[in-house]
Amino acid sequence: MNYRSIFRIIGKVLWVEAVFMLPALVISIGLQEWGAVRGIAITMAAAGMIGYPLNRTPGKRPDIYARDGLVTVGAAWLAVSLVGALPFWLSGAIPNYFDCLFETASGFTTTGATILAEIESLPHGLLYWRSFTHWLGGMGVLVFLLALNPLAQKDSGENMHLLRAESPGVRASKLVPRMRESASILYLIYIALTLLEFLLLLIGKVPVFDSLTLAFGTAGTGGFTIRNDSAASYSAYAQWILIIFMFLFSVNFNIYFLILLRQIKKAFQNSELRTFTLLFCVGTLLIWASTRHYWSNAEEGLRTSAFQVVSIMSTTGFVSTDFDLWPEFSRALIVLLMFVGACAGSTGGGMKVVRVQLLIKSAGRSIYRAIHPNAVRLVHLDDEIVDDATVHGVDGYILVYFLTIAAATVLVSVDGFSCESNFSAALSCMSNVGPGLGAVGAVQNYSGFSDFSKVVLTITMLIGRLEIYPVLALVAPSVWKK
Amino acid sequence: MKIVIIGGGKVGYAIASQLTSEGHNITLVDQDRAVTERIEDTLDCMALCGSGATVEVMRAADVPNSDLLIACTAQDELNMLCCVFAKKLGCGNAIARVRTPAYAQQMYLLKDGLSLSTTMNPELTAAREMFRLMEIPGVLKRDSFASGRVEIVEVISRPGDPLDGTKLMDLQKKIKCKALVGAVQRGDDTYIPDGSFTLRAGDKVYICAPATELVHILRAIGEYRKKARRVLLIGGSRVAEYLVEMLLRAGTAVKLIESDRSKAELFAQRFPQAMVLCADGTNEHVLQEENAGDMDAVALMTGRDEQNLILSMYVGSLGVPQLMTQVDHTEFGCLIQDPHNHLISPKQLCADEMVRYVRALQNTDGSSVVTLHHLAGGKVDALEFNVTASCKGKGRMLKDIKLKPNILIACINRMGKIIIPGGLDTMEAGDTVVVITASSRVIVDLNDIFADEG
Repeated sequence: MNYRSIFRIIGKVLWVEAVFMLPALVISIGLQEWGAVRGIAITMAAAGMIGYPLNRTPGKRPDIYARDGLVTVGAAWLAVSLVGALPFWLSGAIPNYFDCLFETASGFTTTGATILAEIESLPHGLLYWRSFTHWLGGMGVLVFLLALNPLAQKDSGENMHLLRAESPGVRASKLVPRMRESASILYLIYIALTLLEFLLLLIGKVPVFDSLTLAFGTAGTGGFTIRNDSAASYSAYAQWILIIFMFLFSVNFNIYFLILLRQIKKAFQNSELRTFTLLFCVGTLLIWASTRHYWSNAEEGLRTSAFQVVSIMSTTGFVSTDFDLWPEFSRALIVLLMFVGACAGSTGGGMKVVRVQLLIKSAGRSIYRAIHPNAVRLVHLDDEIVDDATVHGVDGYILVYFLTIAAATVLVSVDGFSCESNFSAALSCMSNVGPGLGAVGAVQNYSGFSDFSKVVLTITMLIGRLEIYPVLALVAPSVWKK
Repeated sequence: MKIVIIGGGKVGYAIASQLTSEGHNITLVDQDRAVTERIEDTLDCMALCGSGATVEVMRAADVPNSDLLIACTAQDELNMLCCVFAKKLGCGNAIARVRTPAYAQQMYLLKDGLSLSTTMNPELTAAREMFRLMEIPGVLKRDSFASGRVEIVEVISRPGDPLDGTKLMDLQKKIKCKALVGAVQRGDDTYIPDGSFTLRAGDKVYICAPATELVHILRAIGEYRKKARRVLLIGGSRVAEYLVEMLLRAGTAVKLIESDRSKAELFAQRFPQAMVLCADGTNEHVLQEENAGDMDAVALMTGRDEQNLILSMYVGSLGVPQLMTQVDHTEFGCLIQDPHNHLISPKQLCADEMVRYVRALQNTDGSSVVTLHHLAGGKVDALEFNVTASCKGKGRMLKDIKLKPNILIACINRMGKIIIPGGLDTMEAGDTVVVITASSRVIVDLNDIFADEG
């Protein structure tokens, strides 16, 4: 285990976090929210002070291997969540530290599940920080560090292990040969899209602070808003903008890079993008059809159906209506879409469309083989053969995914909520969606759970965002043995 | 610079690794997914899986917009084909690895016919390196500049010899030769010394001198030995093929041990003057029988690093003064303590050659890198540059020129006349100069060495 690199990276991550708290501090000072100022300022100082010795960790070896990469990412995310929760706690805005931790982890993992029933009374500095955690967590803290400076002393490819451990997808690949450039391009696309959304919302006469936090929430596919009714009270125009951008942020960013390179045809031939679009259209139409009696006009029905569908698929978790009141068929569809999630290489969560595609193809192959035992059949994706190791990897991943949800469901069941509530809470946290059904439904929140359940769900969110392995690596005995 | 490498084998990997650390954008193509995955995991470059000779893959690797393509798959013909396609697609330069000895003889035809920029032959390069070292056995390392007119040699200072305790400014007087110390390695530290630096016993000293003075210098410091007359080669590798030819042409007595009969017969057929033995060269008895201990030099090239390393240590213990050990993995070289045991890595030499080529390409105004050698285990670079009209320090006396720290002008070659420079010498357009610098600093232009004034 390369403690030197791990500690140094975590030290840098904490510094980055402290720097990013600065706007929140400025907002709080400007609005004279002294409690929030105290909380944020103490946290910034603490992060800086903890980061300092970590950045001085002695040692020689700069190399990061796969194992170190997993542990670094897992530990770094744990650290940013623990520290990021401090402003809420120290300012007294949220008195229980476990609530703060849940809220922050929910932010960084872009889940958007909240324990706050009353959001609007929170100081603006904290509201800003709460939404900003989505933006930072969406593309990844370590990817940001990679874009900023080469982490290791030499430009070795071993940083790839960090990118891979933090980015969602079957196997993350670089856009251009250089790691730093790749990470920079990703962040530039990310920033450009966020800015565009912010401006479009402003044009729609959404207040500045609302526009900014909504843009953060959409970009990271998070789901925190600054209003108690989530996104329901915004204008139809604003909701359409949100629909479009939730969709855009759940697409693999490699596709934007291809478009920038003017390889438009190749970009739109991507089978994951096509499947995602198809699922979105079919899901919207089905839900629109089943809820047709609820709406006063067609536009409202289409908009609200599309909004919920893309919000769930992109795992954002904005809510524009209480979908818990919908017919069972629509609710079942919502649960199904929570599993699927967004595309690999996006800021969204869930199992990822590409994994579902591979899973279905692999299942089809098993059935085919049962009928024709000697058949040679390979799994294809985008005209490329997917090797068996990858297919098995996906099978295994999805198994662990379900097991994690099952375990979390059982653990939170001790609080005595209905089975539907517990399961949807676990699924929603694992897929980083936010709202679930029943007690954690669209207009409810997670405050009813006990501290124990909140910790369980916090861990579940981290497992879901980091795609299982980095978090499991932290507790796997084989990782820590010499 | 954008560079595409086709073939991720030993040589391809070494080149990719060197060029990435020089800061270039590398895309590597290999047919084996395991290879591309390993490369993506360990190097900061892009790896593509596919056949590098197909236009589709070449386009995916963006060959048309690349500055250079290096084809180093195992097959010569495939390499040449890749280069032809790359050129047709609009790639600036193309280099093919061509190592079949038969092709080596028609190299000019090949280069011209296929419009290759150059070719590389790691085995031939390695054989040349070994041969050059055998010519002057007293030195630990020997690098040539100015078409062989200048040499930088590595010698070890022993207690009581003229180097021990000498201040560098007094060195020329003491050994009565034109020479300059370019770098000193003391333990783990490396110095680029000035005149006040005092040498100590145990230092590895890099001396820059005209080739004609070399023998005098080695005599003066008591390191001179006659050039190797009897050489034993263990293992009939491709390197051996080139080396035997060179040695025989120089009139050296060559003994070669090869365990494979058909290979041994091929050698015997091609080189009737050499003594070819079909036996197990790793067998201690065989080595005794063939008087391995009485040889002037022994070259180990069985094709397996472990065997070569162990054998070289054993043969060294028999008292052979000079050993050439062919290795792929230079990392294990630290096991070898004997300074006269030379580790020769074809892929590393080849990667150095490519770095040299790329640095020369990078340069636009003609003051390009002519030669580049690594000294002191890769910590120091010695580069030879052309001095052009645009050189900032041209025509001024060296004592008036301020250089960046840790840079030394070791030698000036003016139309074949070698000047070991003092403060009163100047650089003129048309000269070539040898510059010594710490390799942490990448220098591609001669003007990079001057400290910014004002």
